[in-house]
Amino acid sequence: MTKSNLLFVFLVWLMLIVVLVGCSSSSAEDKKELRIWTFTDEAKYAVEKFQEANPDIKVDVLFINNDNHVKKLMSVLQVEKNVPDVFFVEKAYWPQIREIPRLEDLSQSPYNAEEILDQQYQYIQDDEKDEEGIIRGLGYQGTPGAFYYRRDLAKEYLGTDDPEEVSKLISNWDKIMDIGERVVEESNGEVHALANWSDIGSVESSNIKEPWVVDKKLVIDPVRVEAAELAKEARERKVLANYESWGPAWTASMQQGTVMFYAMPTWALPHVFENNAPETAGKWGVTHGPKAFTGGGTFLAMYSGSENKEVAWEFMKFYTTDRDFLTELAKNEQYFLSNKEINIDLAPELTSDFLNGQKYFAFFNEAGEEAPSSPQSTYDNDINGLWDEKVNDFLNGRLETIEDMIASFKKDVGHHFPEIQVD
Amino acid sequence: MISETKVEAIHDKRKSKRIKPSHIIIHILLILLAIVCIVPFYIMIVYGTHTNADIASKFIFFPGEALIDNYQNMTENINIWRGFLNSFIIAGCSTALTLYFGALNAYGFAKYKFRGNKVLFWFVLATMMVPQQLGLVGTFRIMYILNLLDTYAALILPAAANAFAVFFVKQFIDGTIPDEVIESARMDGASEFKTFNRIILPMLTPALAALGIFAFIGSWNNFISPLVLLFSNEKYPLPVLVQMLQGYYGSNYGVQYLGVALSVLPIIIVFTIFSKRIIGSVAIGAVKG
Amino acid sequence: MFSKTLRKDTYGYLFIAPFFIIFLVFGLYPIMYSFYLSFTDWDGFTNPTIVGLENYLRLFGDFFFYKSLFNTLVIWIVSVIPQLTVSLVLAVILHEKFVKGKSIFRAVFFFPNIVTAASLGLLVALIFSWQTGSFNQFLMAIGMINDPIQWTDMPNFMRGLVSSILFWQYFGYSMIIYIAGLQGISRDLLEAAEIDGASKVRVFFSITLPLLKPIILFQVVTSIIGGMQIFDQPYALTDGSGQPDNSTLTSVMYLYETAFTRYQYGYGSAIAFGLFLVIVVFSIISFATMNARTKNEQK
Repeated sequence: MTKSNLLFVFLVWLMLIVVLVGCSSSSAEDKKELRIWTFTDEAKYAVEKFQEANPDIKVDVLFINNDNHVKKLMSVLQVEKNVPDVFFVEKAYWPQIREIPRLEDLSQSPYNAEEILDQQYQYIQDDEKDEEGIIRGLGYQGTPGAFYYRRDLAKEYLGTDDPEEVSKLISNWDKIMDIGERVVEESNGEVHALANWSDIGSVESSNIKEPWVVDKKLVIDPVRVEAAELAKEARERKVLANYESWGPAWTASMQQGTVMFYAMPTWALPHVFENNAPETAGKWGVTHGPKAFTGGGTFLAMYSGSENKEVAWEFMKFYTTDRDFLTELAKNEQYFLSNKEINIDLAPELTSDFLNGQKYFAFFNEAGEEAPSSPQSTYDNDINGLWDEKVNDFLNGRLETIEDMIASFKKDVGHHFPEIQVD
Repeated sequence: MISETKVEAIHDKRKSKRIKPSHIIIHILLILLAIVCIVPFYIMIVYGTHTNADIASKFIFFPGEALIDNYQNMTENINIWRGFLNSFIIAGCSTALTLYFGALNAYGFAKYKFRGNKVLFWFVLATMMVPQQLGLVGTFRIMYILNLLDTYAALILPAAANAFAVFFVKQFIDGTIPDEVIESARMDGASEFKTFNRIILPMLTPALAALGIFAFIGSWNNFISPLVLLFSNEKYPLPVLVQMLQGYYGSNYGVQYLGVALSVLPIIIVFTIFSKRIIGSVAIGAVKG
Repeated sequence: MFSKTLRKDTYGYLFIAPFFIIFLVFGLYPIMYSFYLSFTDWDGFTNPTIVGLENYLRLFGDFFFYKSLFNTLVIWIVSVIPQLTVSLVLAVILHEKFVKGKSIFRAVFFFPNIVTAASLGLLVALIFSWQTGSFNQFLMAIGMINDPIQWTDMPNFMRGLVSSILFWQYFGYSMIIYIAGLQGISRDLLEAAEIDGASKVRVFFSITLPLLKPIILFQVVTSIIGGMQIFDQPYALTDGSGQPDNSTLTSVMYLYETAFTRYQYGYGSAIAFGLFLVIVVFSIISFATMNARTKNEQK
């Protein structure tokens, strides 16, 4: 080998080594540090306030949107490297994540989270516990649902915009169907009662008694089948506008006033309606629909191998029980809390201009007390997706009867999860 | 084979022939196709200057007035310029590694008949056939073992082993570089690596220029690896930041379009400025020929 | 003489060594790890349990795997045939002397390749959305339809849409590779043929095409390999669902869904190796047919 060849090989290796060494040096500091991963920008406000209250703690927040957040979280939990001390989990993924054996047991001391749960709505308490009843996370958000309605449309087609009166007129699905049919006709197809079938689906799926999978067996709660049949009827009677949820047509309809009712939870007020239809402030109201329901929610969980458990717990406690902070959060951000004691204190004074001055905290507190618990298994998020696909096929006519739909659904579940018994 | 005068005669004949109708039709078709290619870019940029309400309710073809609002809205949460820097470091280093080691390896396979040459080359080819998405779990593990998680190196180093580059350059060497070139270099007493660095590498310029564009763009647009392998906000490249925009601004399409447009714009600009050189360098041979 | 070549040829190992060392660590290790996982049942948290060939047996009878292969093939063929032919024609045209603004056209045709597939998918999804999509709004404006059509619920249409995105994104890319190949062909040769009275079409088929064979083979093989791994475009277009009626669910989407949303890493790995086998078979077939054709021509 000649000299220049040797030199060349040497340089290549030198370069590799420099890159390897240069990039893997990481810094470690001795300060009190807290690492948080979140998928929601709400965290920003809370972290700011938490740091104001605890200037000695350095908080490092990583923000990633929902799907990717869960994937990233799973990958670090699997190798237990770079795991954040506290992480936010969206309700859809929570049933799966709360069963992961890397989450701190919050039932035990020094946490004794049961004391915090006592201040919350029953349905949230049920969500916070894993299959063995151990508390694995704390929900900071209250998410009871409401029927949001356009007051101008209610006046025009129902003759009243008073929440009490409207509630009586929509106390069951039959009444809503009749209204829908009439409204479509009177408006020449411009106005529909509901945006799409998920307004029916989300209400009904909150009222299930059993999760999709019990003891490795597929269970189809009759409530779900009824919901699909209702959706079919609603579609055929033109009660639904068929705007895809979260799509541009859907958000635009809020501004245009082409849909009378939206079945949505608390957080939709600032995040959906005010956001997408700012010019319609004062034209809206909230009322009770056919059944109480809930939608979404966020849970805070702690990594069991964290070295900053004390600080992590401080943050979780702060977000669920700190009276000053939570009062501020509720007032400034129109944020309905999981802590019902504080909600009740605020109920008489908090009104929304967007809802034409309605006392919305009082309304949602009432809705939260009535909200049903809907048990979820680790499979539920995936199987919900399969079910929704099948219901869509049924509504569009690709699957002709409800029996076809169920058979096709069972087949898919069996394919994707061979360990589940489908019949 | 062909005499010089004959070739020149053709050139003269070309010049004397003026515009043919078929040439006009070809130009019109080319222009139409070019418009189809540009429209989505135009839409993307124009949408970035509108408010969300506008975008949701109608089809837009002219710029709006929300550009500054959208931009301010975006910079509140996202440091897009830092993302540029990161993307540039990662894509630049990756491309350099891909080109040099890809060419080195391809040359080794093309011009040295060592034992196992064919088998190893087929092996390289076969690795391209394993879906990338699957390696993710293993990649995460190896980076963890080597303590490379959350470093640029985790994204840059693997670029040195780019099977596509090897295949691409080897195909080019097979077609264009005769063995005589190497033989004559050896006669002159040049060492093997010197021959590669001084003689072969310059001859590969057209292929490396094209490959360089592909490699750079591929790395610039890579989303899933940085998302999985990096953990610090200040290290994220552009595509991850754009994805984060989606999280911050949920259904605010105006801001999202602006983010996407901004992430693509520099490539477009660089590409437009250098396209004559880059793609043109491929064409140099044609002009000379 | 023999010993001399042998000595030189061992240098080959030095040339390929850096690549292979990097490759072993960052390329092969992940692949072998997945291969190992394909014989296990693993959710990522508990220890993987060895299940032997169970995952492969499941794959063998998996309706969704076959369906996803079918979808992938259809989407790929519909996009790749126009892609490879149109781009070849464009490359030849842009190689002609009379065309003005060559470099601008080349650059513009390549543009679509620059944009990330994710933003492209989102853009197309917006254009073809049901009630507010500009495509429907356009059709209604010119009076072709009265009610918006739900394009997103039409399986073949959606597959075609994915193919169109792929074509649009890659024809410029193919074109550039062809142009790089055309540089290798002496212009004198082509012009001499023309002088001898051969038409442009004739020159193309009897001189240009055979000389481009290595490049065409390269394009075909890489497009098979890439085409069977279509993921970004349908994923972005359907928001990861592969709907309607699982018609846009490609094999890689299926593997991704299995491994990363259902956390069945073992089965996901088995799908990947099943797909790998399919790709290998297709590549070998294309290599063989191309080689057979040359041999026939040589006779």
